[in-house]
Amino acid sequence: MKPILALYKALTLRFFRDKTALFFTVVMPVLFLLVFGGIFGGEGNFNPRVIFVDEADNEFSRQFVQQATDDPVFDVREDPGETIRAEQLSRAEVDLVVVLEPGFGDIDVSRQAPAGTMRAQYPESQADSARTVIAVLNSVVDGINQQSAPYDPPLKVAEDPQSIAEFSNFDYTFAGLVAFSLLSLGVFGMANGFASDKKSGAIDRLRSAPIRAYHLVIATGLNYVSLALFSVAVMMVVAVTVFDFNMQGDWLSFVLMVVLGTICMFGLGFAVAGWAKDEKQAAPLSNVVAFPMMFLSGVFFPTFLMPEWLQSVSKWLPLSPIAESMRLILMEGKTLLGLGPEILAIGAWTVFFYALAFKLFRWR
Amino acid sequence: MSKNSIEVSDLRKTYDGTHVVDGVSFTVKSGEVFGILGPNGAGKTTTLEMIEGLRPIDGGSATIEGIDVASCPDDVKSTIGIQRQASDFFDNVRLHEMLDMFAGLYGQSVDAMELLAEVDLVEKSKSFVQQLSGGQKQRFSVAAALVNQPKVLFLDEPTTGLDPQARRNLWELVQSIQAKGITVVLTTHYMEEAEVLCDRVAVMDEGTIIAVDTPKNLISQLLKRGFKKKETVQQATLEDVFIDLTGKALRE
Repeated sequence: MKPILALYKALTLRFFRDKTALFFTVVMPVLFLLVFGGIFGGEGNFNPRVIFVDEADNEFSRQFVQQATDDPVFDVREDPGETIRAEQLSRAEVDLVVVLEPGFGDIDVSRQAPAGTMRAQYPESQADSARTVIAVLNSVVDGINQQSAPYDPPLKVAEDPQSIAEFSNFDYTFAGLVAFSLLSLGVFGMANGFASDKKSGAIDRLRSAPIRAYHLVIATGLNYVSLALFSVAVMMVVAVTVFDFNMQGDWLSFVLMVVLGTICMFGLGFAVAGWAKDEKQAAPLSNVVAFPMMFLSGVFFPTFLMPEWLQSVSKWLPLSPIAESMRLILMEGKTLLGLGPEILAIGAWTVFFYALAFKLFRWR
Repeated sequence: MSKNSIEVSDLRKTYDGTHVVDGVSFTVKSGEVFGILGPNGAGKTTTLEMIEGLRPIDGGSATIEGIDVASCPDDVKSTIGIQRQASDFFDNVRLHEMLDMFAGLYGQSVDAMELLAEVDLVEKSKSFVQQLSGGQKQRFSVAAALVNQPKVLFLDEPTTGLDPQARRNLWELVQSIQAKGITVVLTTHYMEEAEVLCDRVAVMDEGTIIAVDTPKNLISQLLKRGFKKKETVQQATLEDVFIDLTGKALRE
């Protein structure tokens, strides 16, 4: 135990004096958080950007546009004129242009109710998202129709809102970034730090004392687990203060999952850096193992957006169950007890990584 | 003092069919400074690393203080101190913290300041290794090899790359270590160093030991064979001139 503690103490002291290491472990994840949080943050709902072109220009049409503008569902933009409008539409800077045709809102004498047409223009390529907006517009129009000429439709959809915790896109991004920071620390941290210590001979020098590889692994692993907890704590503070992050799960499960995830990712990093003689060998290898996980494990964007065959590959990657668990804890309030399959998968990968690492380990 | 500290018998190491160490045998007496001399690639470091328990022994045997290296490498490591040739220390760790760490690796604790005083580095106790000069680094390396109060100290080319002042300073350190009763084994390719420091030397080339004796005996044996230097022997060397002009004080 004493060798492990002695090493752990030296490694920890050293880390907090190393500005580069501090930057990569603490500042970088926060920068990522600010950048990705800025991109995916906000209300989290899809707010269609709509330009209303009021060609009717009567009291009814003006009121309609005003109400739509006040409605938080729509992000109503000023009409910049026909040419620019068409350009914006083609560049997908706006989702929909709604033209209220002349006579929109005039009273139809036979029905004693306002009538008329609004034309929704959208680029064909954006048909899916445009239809969503049109459905919203339809329901608004339905509402007006119901008021002016009430009738009881035989088929209807009854709305029954459930109180489900509301996620913002940020919550999703945050869970992914926590998982990513563990990957980054474990794999890239080890590939850089440990491999260069090996090259300098600092690791081999330790072997003058009667210590074994496992002493080194446990001490370095403990060091990385502390760093991960520190780094994630800083991320959490930024998430809560800057992005109003809404923690659903319990903190103990979260902390334990960070520890578990770090142990797993450190195992992979240790396998890479333990084998490599120097950074020149470690750097490319760490990229090869880390990149597929960065893009396919649902860290930056949800896996359900990927084609099905890719999803079936993705779920077998070691980072996937970690990212998934983070999400289930942070967003759906699950505890470790409810994460059996994920923990099993993480555990299996961990055993595999350490078995590999001890087999491949070289002191120099 | 006549007790043997190290006994090496028919030690062998083969890499890809090449006999890097090819049947090396020698003994080192307790309390002596024993030198292994030889050109680069002679197999000095490989021999040392096998004796130190850092490299598997392919053939033959080595015992230190009666402990068999091959079967009890950890016991041997606890008994000896090792200063490695191509090795470095963690950066951003202060010297006194590093000595505490190394002592911890042996499951012991150490008075870091006292040890730093022995190698004349008290003022640098709060420095990081990367801030030390070459000579200071080597002295620190010796201090790190002494944390476990070893009975035998191994120094692998301790003065390679050092300026004359720093080298002489390290010689004094080695002599003070010997005065404490610690057996020292060192490798070098500086003959003057071997002559000053070593009670006995082994000359090694191409993986075998060619001669083992005191420096004095080796020289007189050579002279008996009728050897004559081409130039008349000078009473001083250029290095003596250099030291005389620049002084013995350390430049760091």
